[in-house]
Amino acid sequence: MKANKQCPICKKDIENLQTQYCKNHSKAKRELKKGYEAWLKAYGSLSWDDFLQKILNLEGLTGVFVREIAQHEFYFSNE
Amino acid sequence: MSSIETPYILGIAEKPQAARRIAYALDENNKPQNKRLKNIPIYICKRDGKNIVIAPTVGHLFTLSSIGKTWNYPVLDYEWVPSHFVNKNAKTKNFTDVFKSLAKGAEDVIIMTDFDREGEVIGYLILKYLVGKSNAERMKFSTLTRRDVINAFDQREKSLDMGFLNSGLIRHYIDWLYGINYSRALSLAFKRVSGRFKTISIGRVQGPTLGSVVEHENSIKFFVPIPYWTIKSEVILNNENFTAVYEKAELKTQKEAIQVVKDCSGLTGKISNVSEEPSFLYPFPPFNLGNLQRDAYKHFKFSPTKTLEIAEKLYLKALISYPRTDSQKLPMTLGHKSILAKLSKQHNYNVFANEIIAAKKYKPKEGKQTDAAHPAIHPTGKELNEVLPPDEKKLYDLIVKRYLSLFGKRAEFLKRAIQILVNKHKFEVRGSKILNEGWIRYYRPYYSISEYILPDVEIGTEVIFNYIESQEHLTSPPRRFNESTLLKYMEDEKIGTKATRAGIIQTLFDRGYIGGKEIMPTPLGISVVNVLQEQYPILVKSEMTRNLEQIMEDVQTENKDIQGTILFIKRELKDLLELFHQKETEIGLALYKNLQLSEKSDIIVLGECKQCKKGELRIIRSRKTRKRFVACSSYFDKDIICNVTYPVPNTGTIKSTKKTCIHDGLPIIEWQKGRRKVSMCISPDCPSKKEGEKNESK
Ligand SMILES: [Zn+2]
Repeated sequence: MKANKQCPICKKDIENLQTQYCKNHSKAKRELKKGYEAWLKAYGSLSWDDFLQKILNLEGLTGVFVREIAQHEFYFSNE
Repeated sequence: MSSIETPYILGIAEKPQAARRIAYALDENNKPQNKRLKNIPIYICKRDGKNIVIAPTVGHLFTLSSIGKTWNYPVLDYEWVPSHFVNKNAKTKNFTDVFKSLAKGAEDVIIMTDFDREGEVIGYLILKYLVGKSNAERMKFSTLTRRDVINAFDQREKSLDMGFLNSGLIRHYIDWLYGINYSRALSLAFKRVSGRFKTISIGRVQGPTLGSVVEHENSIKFFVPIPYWTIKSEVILNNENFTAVYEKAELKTQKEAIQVVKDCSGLTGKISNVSEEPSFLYPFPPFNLGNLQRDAYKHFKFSPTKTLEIAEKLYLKALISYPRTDSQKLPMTLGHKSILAKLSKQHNYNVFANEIIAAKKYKPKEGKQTDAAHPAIHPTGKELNEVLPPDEKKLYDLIVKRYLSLFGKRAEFLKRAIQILVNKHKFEVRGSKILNEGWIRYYRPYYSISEYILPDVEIGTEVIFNYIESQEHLTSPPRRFNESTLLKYMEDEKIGTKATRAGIIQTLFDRGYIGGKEIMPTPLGISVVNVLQEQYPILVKSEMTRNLEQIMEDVQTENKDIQGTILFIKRELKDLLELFHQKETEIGLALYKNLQLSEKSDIIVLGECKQCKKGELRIIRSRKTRKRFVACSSYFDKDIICNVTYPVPNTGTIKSTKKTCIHDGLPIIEWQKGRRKVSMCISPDCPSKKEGEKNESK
């Protein structure tokens, strides 16, 4: 079997090779970005990193997939 | 048998307790003769100069079975066979034998099973396969009280209800066809790829239900909380403090929230308006099964299955009407005056029942929903000859009080609002005064209200604010289903029927697809849904099952031809299975991968191994036997080869508690299956288990 591209977060195979993450974590990233837009509107100004940090502190509210992607973005991404 | 005088009318009742009640009601002297045949109680009564022999069944004595014994699909041919042929543990053989032998002396037959689809099918199958007739007279009743049973006998129908019978039969055929074919298809797809056999089954109604639970869980997993703000304030009115609410319940931006506080700070307000308006609250509608299950969950935390079981018991004791009903109607023909008069003799209810009788208002409030066979659930008023067990007592009380509340006057309030203006921002202090509690008195403690009295104030008066401040909040993810809200969801989505919904939820628990009081899908449940969602979505979407429900409904109401309908359904199913067959490898592969992942996520580390003090204890599954057990990771270490193992249950989910046992220092695990949750030491020889056994055997 050929080596498949794996999601860096959950190690699941990535079906759509255009994306960086698996299906769930790609969707979580889209939700995270939508969330950022809403937070930006609510606060007027907020950096992406501050947003991630706030989201990560909200245990019990932030969904697990979103949490995982936020963590990954916070520590490994240089966007 | 020789001792029973022939000929006689044979009565077929649904349960032993129902047979007994019917017999006592029908016998002219209230003293039916009681006999036992093969240890089954039967009753002989005399009425209108005839002998009536009433024998009970215990639900279904027959089950569908495939004709031909291949293990492939599609399987489209079936036959009814006695349940004890298929399931050796079924306790139905004696009942079957009794009907066979009673058939010989019967000149006529009356079906006395519960009046609904299932009751019709149960009676029909006994009639056809054990008595050798294709139709019989039919008694229809909604309570097991004397009055209703005798009425049902006097006005019995000449024939079974064909609408109920056909729609009941077709339901069995459809569920059997879908159940067996998809169970085989999924299990074979998995076996083709993995080489091992594993039963993966998902019924026609379980699929969409499980699909919804997984989808709901996903909306929690993908949830991003969003901030919003509210304004909190407190004012002084006539030297007392009152909470005032701001005109906008929610503010979307921090800027706006800060602005409101800034605009008002240090200012006094002025009363700009005082309004008063009467407000009314009407009784809730009568209970149908779904409402009762929800309210019993709310007040007593009874699961829907449990509520139905208890209601069934109360029905068999003739204390309430038939509980499997959709109806919220209580027609006057039920004799409310007489029911209320009887309730007035029960000391818990006498005050309110007498009050209603004195008011001479005998027309109860009704709801919109209807049922083809039964009225809403209501008490019969029959006296309590025994002390009810606690759970039955609770449910009975809820049902009686709900019934009484339907005759109560509407509750009346006077709502007051004091409007305060500060720098163009509007605040309001709201209060209410109870003028008449009405029906609520009858329904306590299941509903209550409190009043909030406001002082008399004048327009134009200055008002001092103790504080005005903004508060930041975050939106919350949707709440997980509990059994009660899942049931409601199924009702709204038209998945299943009143009689089957609670059982479907139970099956999903039993098969390990869902777990917990706050219902979550298990890794297995998620895997199955993910695969089907992608490869074969009709099994987890509600459209197909809703269409089938409609077809079954049509068979009942329009008396559609059952043979033609079932042929049509078989043809459609065959096509769907052909589609499945074409995708079998893909589906099998996806199932294999997903289940492996879900099983992998099952590897649970419990802590250090006490034996070798090097490795760690982990729960693993044997590749060969698929059995689950605890083993030490040093088993694979050539220098140690620690082969310590402990058995653990094969089914259910296991979690590490990170605690150790006080007796032997070994890890304690938490095992959960369905709603059961147990913490236990992993050692089978642990003294804690011996104590447990002793306690249990006592
Ligand atoms: Zn991933």
